[in-house]
Amino acid sequence: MTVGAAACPAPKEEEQELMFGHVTNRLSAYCNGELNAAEAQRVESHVAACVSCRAELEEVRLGVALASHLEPVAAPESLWQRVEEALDRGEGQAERAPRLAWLDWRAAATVAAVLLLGIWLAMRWMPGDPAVPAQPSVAGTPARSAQQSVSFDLGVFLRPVQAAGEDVSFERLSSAPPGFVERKREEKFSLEWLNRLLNGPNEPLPGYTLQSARTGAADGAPIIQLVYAKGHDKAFSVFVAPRRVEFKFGKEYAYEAEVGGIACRRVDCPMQRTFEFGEGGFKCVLVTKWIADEDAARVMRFFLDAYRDKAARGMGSGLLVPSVHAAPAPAAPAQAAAKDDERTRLLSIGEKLFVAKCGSCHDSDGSKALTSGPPLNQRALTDEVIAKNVEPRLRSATPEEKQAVAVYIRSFLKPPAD
Amino acid sequence: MATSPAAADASLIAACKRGDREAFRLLFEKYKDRVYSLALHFSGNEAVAQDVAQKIFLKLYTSIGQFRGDAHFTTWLYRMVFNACTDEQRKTRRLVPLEGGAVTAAERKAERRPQEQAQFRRQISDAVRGALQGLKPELRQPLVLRYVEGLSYQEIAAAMGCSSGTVASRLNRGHKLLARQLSHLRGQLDR
Repeated sequence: MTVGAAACPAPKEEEQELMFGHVTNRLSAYCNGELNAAEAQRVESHVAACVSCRAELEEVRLGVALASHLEPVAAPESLWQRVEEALDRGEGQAERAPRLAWLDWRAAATVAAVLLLGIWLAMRWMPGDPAVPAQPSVAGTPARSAQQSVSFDLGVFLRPVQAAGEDVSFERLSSAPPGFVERKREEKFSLEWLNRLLNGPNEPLPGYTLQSARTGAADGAPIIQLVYAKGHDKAFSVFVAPRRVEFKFGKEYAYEAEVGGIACRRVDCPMQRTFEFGEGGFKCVLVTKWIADEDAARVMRFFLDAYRDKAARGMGSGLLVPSVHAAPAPAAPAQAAAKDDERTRLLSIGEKLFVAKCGSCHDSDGSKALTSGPPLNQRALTDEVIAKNVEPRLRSATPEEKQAVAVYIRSFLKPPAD
Repeated sequence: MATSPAAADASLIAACKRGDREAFRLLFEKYKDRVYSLALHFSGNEAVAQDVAQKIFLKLYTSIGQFRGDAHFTTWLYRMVFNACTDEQRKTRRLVPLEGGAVTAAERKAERRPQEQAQFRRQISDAVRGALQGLKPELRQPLVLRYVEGLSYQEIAAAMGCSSGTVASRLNRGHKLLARQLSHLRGQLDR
């Protein structure tokens, strides 16, 4: 009956050797001189007494004799010509280009994430504002995944905003959406605090202060609106989204423009001008009828820089995080010690991640030569550039891990040039 | 002072990483025969081997920055060659098992006079190379590395990312399959 044979396959060579002392699995090593003297002696003794292994040895010997006829073959003379022609055609460069493009792309994605956090926070602390619908109207946008763009009516945000001064409790901010950084040190947020943060020494535009901020959502995409005003009748709003959001603001009239060196899409309407800008998935819209183009460029640059700066510190995608532009306060000794401990901890985390994720190209200390220029540790990179490059390479890492890697990279870099 | 081969390689590779075309030419000259030879034995086809060798050196030029230096350069190279050959085989399906004609020619040569031994040896080599194509890649790789590159079992294991025991086992199977496919040449080998 064949069933038995099928159910009990022939033992493998290793099993045979264990069961019967056969040496079939060592015959090639024996023929190739890869066994030590004792092992070779054992094979010879066994083969002398075992008909089965002797037959196997003969077969292996024939295989070895045949394989020994294999010889190195010289490459044809034309090979270099083929390679050189391909290089001259740019085939070599074609594979290098995406690496560079990839760097830019990653930086852009980082910026986008920062802005959205701020919007979301603003919405959360003004739930009782009757002027702000709990669910902003969404124009004809079925539910979409987070990877797709969201379309909403910008008009819902152009309503009276809440006056400054109302504190916002941390509890209301504790359910940040995935990817957002939750504040854990601050007990409360306030618009005054926001003013200090965003309208301090690095205010978007001199003379304009943050009057209000609120957040909303469209198809799950959090949006923040920041309203800056100067006096009673001059103001501008900045809408920030953490990912690609399609703002509707008379887009049939929109055109690509460059304002103060910043690429944007702008719409010039009689009542207002809008500048849509951002990088990658990060999206921002500046709405104003008051400020000049050069001032609009300053505002746009401020938000882009704030986003990059924050991302460089590994603080996630939210814009409204105090360390963005806040001057470091003198730390008490205990605080300084705690800060050192924290830095040591981050360095340790960052080093491990850097070695694992980046070590192949940069070595563990950034000293490895690169085809694109000097080694990493010979470069004077800004935090912004570090963050730009860290973010996309550690997409699955937590914000703290990204921050840790940025801190570690900072530790071996040359200081950025002023 | 004489420079060790490894140090010379490291110097060449570092220059290549900086985009030095002349250094790349030197690296090419140093490894072209090995790359081509491996590709030829692994693919069994001269046209494919030339395509693969060209691709390998282009890839080398563009991605040598990814070479970490924590493995031997040759190990890295071996893997590139085998991967490229496998890709090429999958893509073109130009690789064909040994044809009877090649063996017949070898047999015919084997029956000729002793002064034709060198040519006969080459015919046997062609026959074995053809027979290699009938083996699975995991059996073909250690055979090529052993007999074309002259690596030890341990070096083969490092190149293939497996244990020496696995190499021994695969070579055992490879030798036996070659012997069975070309058993009709047994008498010729003894001459």
